[in-house]
Amino acid sequence: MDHLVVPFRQFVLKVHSRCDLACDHCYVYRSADQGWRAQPAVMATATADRVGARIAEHARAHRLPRVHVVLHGGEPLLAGAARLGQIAVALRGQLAGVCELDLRIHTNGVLLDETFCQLFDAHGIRAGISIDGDRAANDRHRRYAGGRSSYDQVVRAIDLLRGDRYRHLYLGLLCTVDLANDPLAVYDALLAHDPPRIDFLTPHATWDNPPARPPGAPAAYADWLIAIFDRWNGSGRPVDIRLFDSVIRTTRGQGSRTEAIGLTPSDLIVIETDGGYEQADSLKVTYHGAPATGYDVFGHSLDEVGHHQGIRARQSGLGGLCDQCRRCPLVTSCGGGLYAHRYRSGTGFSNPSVYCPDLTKMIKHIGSERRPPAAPAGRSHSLSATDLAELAAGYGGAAAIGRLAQAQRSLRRALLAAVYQRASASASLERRAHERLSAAWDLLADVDQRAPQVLESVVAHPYVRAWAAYCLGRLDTDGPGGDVTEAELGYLAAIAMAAAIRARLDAQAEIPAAGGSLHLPTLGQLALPGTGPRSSATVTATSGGAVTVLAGGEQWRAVALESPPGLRFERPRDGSWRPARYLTAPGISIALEDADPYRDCHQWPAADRCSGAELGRWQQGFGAAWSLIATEYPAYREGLAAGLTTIVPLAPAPGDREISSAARQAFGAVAVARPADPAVLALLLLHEFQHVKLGAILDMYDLFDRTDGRLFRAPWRDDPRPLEGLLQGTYAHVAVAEFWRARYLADGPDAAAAASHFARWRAATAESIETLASSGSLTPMGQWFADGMRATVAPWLDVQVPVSAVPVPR
Amino acid sequence: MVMTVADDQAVEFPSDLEDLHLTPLPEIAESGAGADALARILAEESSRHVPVAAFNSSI
Repeated sequence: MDHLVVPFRQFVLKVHSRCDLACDHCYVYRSADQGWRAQPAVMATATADRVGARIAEHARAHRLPRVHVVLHGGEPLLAGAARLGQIAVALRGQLAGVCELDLRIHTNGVLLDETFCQLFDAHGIRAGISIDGDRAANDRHRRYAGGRSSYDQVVRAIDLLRGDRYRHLYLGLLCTVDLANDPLAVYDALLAHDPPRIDFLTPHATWDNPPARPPGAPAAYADWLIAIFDRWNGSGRPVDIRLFDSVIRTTRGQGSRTEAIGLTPSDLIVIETDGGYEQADSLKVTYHGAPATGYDVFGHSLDEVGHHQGIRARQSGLGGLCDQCRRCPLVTSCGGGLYAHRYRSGTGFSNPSVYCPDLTKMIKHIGSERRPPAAPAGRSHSLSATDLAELAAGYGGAAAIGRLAQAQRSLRRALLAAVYQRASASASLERRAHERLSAAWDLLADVDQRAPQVLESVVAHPYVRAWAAYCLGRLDTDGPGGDVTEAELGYLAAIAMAAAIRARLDAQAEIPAAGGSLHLPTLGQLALPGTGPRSSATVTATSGGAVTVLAGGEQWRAVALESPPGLRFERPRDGSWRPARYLTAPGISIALEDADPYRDCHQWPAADRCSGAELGRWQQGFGAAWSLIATEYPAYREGLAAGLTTIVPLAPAPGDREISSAARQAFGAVAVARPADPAVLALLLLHEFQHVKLGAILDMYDLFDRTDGRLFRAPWRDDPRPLEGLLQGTYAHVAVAEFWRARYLADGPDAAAAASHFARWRAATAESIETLASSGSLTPMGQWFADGMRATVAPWLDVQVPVSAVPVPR
Repeated sequence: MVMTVADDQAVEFPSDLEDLHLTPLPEIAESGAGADALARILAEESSRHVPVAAFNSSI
């Protein structure tokens, strides 16, 4: 299927095609492509107006909230203040009311003066300047045609920008690396200009024209950059360095901020002075004509040029790389390097970067440097090949599921620590909240030391992660503090206290009573009538198992129960204590979670507390569903018994539609609106637990290129789906197809309907497996995973079904 | 993390998720252990194309 256009968000406008310097390392004038010779010197205002209209058209179509336009050259200041002002007016006029325009200019600085700065200020144009370091470094290449130095003019321009009056327009500095320069002298010289940002650019090169390296230094560019990284990192990273930041981000699975690194699809396009669209300036180093697209703003929309093969090649992520890159463990960070740097006559761009040794060394160095020094060495979670084979086939035994659960527990411990750490640093929380947070953390750490197994049982509760992720999202949203409340952070104390009670430890905690109730995860919920929104409960536990709750002037006394864990109140009040309840069947006991305040993280709203009668219906339905799973689906039974810990009842959907859900944040839990038919419940459990398993696998491994933003046809939906959605759906439907296959082969009363369902879902699943496999975006492990699913599903395609059951092709 | 799966069934495939089972919580908080995997997963959540709970049954 043809994928949708990745919208452009960055536009490089060549407003002038000539330059007033004659830098001998310039890729515009000194490269294979000499396209600049055919360009008009200056972009006409009418052309700029057309550019603005095309960008506006594109922004509307893709609902872009913001676009970035860089006025570039040649040397853009040669266009003159008047023309630059006209271009800015044209762009802002076209984009007014459509989207925000981030307007920038990149200049060599030699002409930059007060007049230009006033113009920039008036039109909101921020400026970046090219400079290669100190005077000696800069003048190695950046000279006038007669050989005269440009250094003094450039520094004067920087001084103008960094002054108080125009500081807000100062974007930063761009430095081209030259191995002949001392890296630390270059870094110190750049830093002395107090830039908000520095970017380092390796000289554009290809396999046909590789970068010069000294003998015996196969990664000399890495060595040069690493020297700066170490100085920068060791001094607390005093300035934003885009290249290093991008390496750090990509090694964490985040997007890159530069095309030079990472798999993030390129969203940049160049528009020449004549209005022609070009792919990327860096391609000028490959061969004459390489950047050209044949399209222009007068005759073609940006969506049209977005389908150009060259543009798409820079958006195809992992699928666009050569085999060597695809197999490289660093590929998600490196991304094959800059597209132009892969070029070699004969093989085109299907090569590693000519800077591969440098990228490898630099990424490994930065990756090792940023690791926390106290992190335990050499211990990481893993799956065995057997585990992976079982899971890829759609199943997974107790050992495999157990390993997924262990990994989730580590993740939760890291989440708890992160919530504590970030909330502690919050300036917007009141002193009382900080005191309670600190006390809760101390109790948690104490229980962790004295009864680690018990704490682990509480932390394994599915909605601990949902709570932590919610808090971290809030804490990260609006700077320090965010808008997470004291009551929300109180869940940490509730976790600690629940574990202390279960472990029979002497402990006391002040726990916010959000919504007039005290929730103790895995134990239950106590209604506290008469308490206000800022009320709290003092909970005290003793080693003898006695528990008291003091809130709103009232006291409740209870005794801790061991199995199942719970509390028995001495003076039960009608409905005040809502204990955790369980559904049981031979070989399995799971919580029916209808109280946890963080359970409502599924797409469908959670149901309220179940009545006793409803609990009975759940028990009856679950018992029958489990019996069906145990007898008819033994390949799934063991994994479910090992990993399914919780069912959250959902509110019934309109029209009694069967609904269910799994949440990535809630390993072990499945949310279901109780169906009347136990067989349907069995199907929903099988389906949703596939998502649970796959989510935990994806927490451990990359199965696909996460930066691939393409959408693919999913046979079970009308709208195209992103790769992860397609993978999740496919994996779930392996189980769905298997469910109906068994029902069909059992030849029971629903055999005819089952045949139809089976025929539909085996075809849909087989089709989506092939879509995944041919996407070009699966990692080697992802490809292997797709092979595993295919091995399960392929034999089903040979199972004979009645002709009437065969789905009609869409 | 990208890796190649071999046929050897005894092979273990480590992920970048550190085993923090035996690491005391204060040490995790102090050292930032697990932060790399966490950052990746949280970033993935925030940039996810598919809403967290959008994987619903179609039966």
